[in-house]
Amino acid sequence: MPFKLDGARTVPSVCPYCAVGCGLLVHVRDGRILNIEGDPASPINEGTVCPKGAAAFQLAVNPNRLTKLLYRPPRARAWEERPLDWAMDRIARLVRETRERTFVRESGGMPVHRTTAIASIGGAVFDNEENYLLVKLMRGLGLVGIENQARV
Amino acid sequence: MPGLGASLGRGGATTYMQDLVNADAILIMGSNMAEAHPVAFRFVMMARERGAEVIHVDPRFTRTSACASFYAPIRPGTDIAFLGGLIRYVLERGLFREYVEAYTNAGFMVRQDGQQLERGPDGRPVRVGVDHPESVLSVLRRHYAGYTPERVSEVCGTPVADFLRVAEALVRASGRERTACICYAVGWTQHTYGVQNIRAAAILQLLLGNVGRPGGGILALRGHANIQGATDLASLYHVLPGYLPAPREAPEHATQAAYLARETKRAGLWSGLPRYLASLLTAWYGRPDAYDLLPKSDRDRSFQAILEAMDAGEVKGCLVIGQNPAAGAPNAAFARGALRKLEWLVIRDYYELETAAVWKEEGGGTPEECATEVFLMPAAMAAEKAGSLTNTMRLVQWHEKAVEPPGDARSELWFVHQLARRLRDVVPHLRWEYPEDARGEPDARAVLREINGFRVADGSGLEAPADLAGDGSTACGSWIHAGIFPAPDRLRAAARSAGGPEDAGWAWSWPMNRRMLYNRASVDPESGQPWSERKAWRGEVPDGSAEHPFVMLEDGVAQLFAPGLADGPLPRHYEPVESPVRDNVLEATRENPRYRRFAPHGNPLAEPADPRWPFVLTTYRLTEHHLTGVMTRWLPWLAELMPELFCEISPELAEERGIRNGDRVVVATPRGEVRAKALVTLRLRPFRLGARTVHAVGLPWHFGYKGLVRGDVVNDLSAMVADPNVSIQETKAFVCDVRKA
Repeated sequence: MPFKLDGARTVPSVCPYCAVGCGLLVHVRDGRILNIEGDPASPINEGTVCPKGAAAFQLAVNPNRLTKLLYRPPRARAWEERPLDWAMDRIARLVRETRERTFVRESGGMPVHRTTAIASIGGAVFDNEENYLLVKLMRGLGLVGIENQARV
Repeated sequence: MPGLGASLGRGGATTYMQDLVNADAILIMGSNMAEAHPVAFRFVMMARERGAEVIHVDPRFTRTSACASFYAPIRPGTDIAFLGGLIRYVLERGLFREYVEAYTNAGFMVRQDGQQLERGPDGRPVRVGVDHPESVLSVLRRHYAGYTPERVSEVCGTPVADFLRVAEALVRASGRERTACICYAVGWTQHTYGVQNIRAAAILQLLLGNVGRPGGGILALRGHANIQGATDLASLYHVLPGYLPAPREAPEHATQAAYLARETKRAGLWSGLPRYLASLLTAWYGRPDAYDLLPKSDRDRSFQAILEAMDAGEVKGCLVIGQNPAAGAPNAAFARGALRKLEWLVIRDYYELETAAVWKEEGGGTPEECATEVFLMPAAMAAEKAGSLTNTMRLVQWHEKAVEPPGDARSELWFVHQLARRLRDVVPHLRWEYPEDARGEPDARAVLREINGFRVADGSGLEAPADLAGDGSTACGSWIHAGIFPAPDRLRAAARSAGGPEDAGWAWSWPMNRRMLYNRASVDPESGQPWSERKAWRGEVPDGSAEHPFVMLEDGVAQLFAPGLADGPLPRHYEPVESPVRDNVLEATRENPRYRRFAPHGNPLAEPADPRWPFVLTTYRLTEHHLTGVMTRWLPWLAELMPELFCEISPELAEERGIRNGDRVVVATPRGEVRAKALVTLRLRPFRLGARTVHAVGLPWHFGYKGLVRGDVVNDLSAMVADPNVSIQETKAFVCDVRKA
């Protein structure tokens, strides 16, 4: 093909770095990202991006990126690759056991439905829908230690 | 941030970035906007081209200073003294009296105790007029009477002439015909009096009549792509989605009725709390009276409190999703030690970040001694999933999935949904109905529809917060988001037609797609007409009424005087907890008497004016890196641009310590030491405080022990101390020593 973006699909997106919210265009062909650049239509950035936004392509398409689930057993010296489903089952079991061991149903005569033995940290780099669903499940399980980067 | 919330009603930027071009003056303080938010800074430059005065007040001369009309230096951590001085100046020479009388609580009576407003039997405030000796305005005058230009200069190290130049510029650019805007970032918030910094800015802007008008307002510059959204949707211990107070273990929160009796306001939009709560409970538990199922917090469970409890063995398991406490937490070495005490740790991110390596030698651990079970899960990026991000001006922008995430990488939506499926029997009461695709990924649109809210009977979407019901007939995940996605074909966060008033066709901002909050304050209440033709607001979605433009607040007007904050209704200058200055010439106590300190056994502090730590240290960002570098230090393009940690010092300090440009230096605090390359620069000047000199040291905080480019963790130096209202850390002003390595 003569040009890099020939036959590419253009998907509007949002810069993942700071909170200015620059519009990005993601160019895709054959299920692969070819290029990411500023969206000229966005009234915020009008096509411009800063050095970080200009590197958004390399954030996603990068040989240093993690693509395998890594597990480190207690006291081990190295990571091990494990299947994703195995890890999800194991994490669910740990959450369940820790919660059962520490759940406080009532305190001072009032229902409190909480565990302080599990905490959830992070939120500012992922989507609204993800934050909402995370909070719904974590509060549902009884967590009160739920925090994102707002205080950091 | 409650600083904005307590003053104006909502914890969000009052205006939109594009509106900066309408300003006649822009004060940038607590922010290096040109380097940390370069694209937003375009609008500052456009304003300057149109004649606006751009003022930068900062400890360092940065690129923002270089682009400003003028720059004034300030000692780190003394912003309230400076702003208090501006407030005093404006009260004397620049008060927008008609605006203040109409739209603030200036004319209400302050109770004898000085902490609350006097209220009548109906709960309404007693109006005495702004000239009454016990009015808010009179109390304000007395409160800041001592913040004279000379005292401001002695505390802040700002030359009197520079201070006066800022004051005169702001007054010149405010009033009926003109407006000024203030931009700030974490340079204002990360202090043991962070909330009061923002309060002081709000008081200043209200006295000048600069809120709710074109070119005015307060623009909070947030630092993460979705920090505003994550806060709105409440991945924070103290709130539920839409800023409903999270229930505590306390008699006033013992039952739903008690909670509502305590938290529902007499008037304003918070009078609707029973409907918001009932609709949230219906969305979560399927019934409007399920309050008993909500967990009740026992105490401060904020970020630093979690790390303290982790160190004490109380927190046994932790999910860390897109955050890097091993390098980003204050006193980060303490945080790494606490993480090593966990039974299990789940990390979801893009690269093998510092937090995932705390058990390794490079993280300070001994693998054989660390019994933590660690999961490092690859995460999907924005282009690899559908969803929405909320930017610094409350603008919610939808992004589509462009490609599948690679390998085992999955979205957070997938992770939470798959975990919930496996724990269904543990949380049978949770309403959990999300269609999923072949990979088990739930539909982000279905989640946003729930956030938007719907009628339970027929599933039809809500159009506005007014549609929420209290009887279980509506479900709504976040009342402030009602209207974002009211029908399957009306995903308004995905709207992409720019142009028109306030660019309101581009995406959607809460609440109700308002771009400028409190905009009814843009009119003269006498005539009902704009304060001036030049500053007429022409947006589409009015906010509140002409009588009550601050519709979130009980009294309908902005709060110059804001009762209810832990450290008082009016901001006072306090020294940072660690400071080279022993006395406070402006106030009776040296530091904030209510500041919080965590984990004292592992968190030593310097004494006031401790000679071992004589310099002020401030930390900051660079353009080429982001936060602790997880999204930048693994990228060759960015790593090459900014490859190593450096330390900025003035030529005077360099000479005092025998340091030359490029030397290796050690920066030390009571918590630890880091090594960096010295950058001897005129960008940092010694501060003259009366007869004495105080030196400042600057360090960017983007480095760590993983990644393509590495460097010492600057947060190993900072302390676990916090603001009493919101528990935010104090990393913009503490003390250090610096010496040649």
